[in-house]
Amino acid sequence: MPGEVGIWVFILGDMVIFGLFFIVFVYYRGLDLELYLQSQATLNQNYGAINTLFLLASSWFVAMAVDDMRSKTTRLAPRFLVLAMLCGLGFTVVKIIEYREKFMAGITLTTNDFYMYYYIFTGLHFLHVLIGMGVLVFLWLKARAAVQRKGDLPIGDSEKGMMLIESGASYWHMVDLLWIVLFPLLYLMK
Amino acid sequence: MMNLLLKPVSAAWLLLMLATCLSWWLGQDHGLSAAQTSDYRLISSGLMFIAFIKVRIVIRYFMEVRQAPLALKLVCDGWVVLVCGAILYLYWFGLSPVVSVIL
Repeated sequence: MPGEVGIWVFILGDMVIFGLFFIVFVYYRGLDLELYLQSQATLNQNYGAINTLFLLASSWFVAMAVDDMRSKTTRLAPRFLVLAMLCGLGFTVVKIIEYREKFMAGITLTTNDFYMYYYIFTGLHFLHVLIGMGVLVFLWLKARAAVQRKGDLPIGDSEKGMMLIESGASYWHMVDLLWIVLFPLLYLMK
Repeated sequence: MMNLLLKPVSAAWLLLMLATCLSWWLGQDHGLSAAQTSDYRLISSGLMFIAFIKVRIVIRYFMEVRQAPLALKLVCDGWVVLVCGAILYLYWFGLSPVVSVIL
């Protein structure tokens, strides 16, 4: 099992909730297609795509870090995690620029149904990213401590320690996964 | 370092980046979106399908579910199939066919 059972219950629960969000959105979109298409046309697809690339790169760095810690070489793990955090930060900056543009154009949560879904879905996802950044900081601290201990994780026995690392990593990958669906759903689907 | 780059997860990542660039390009307006043409509906469905293939790659390779117990594999695949299926179904038909069967 890649991570603790508890984290998987949480991840799957989150995926079910977002899955329902996606389905509800497509249903209501079909009822008022014109409005949804017009509103979608004002979104900047480049922001959505760049953010997908940021999260994919970030996920890969985290996967590399986990692999490094598992093989107890660990010298590279803290560096990979710093790169992962920088990608997360990149996502955050792009998201803030995007929100700011929308607010400046007078587009808010109450403008219409499309924007309501847009703000709620991307906002909830953004919250996941911010929590995930905290998780990455935690992983980075553990990885650094492991370097000082010549590869041994500083948490309990090594199997338990690795489990905790994998749990954090799995959460971050889920954040990536949700955005992979949100991007075509909100920005691309015509 | 080199052997890290040669791991399956790195190949998976490269594929994901390429798929994203393909979706990015497909999603640009190629003059097809003015009217809701059936061509464009196929492209949109393709974009969704690509997204869920990417999701499955993330689950299998990044979240390492390919090494997880069968139950977790099945639950994850079930989510992918159900959510992707429901999105595509509603995108093409809406709920009216279901409603007309029930009534």
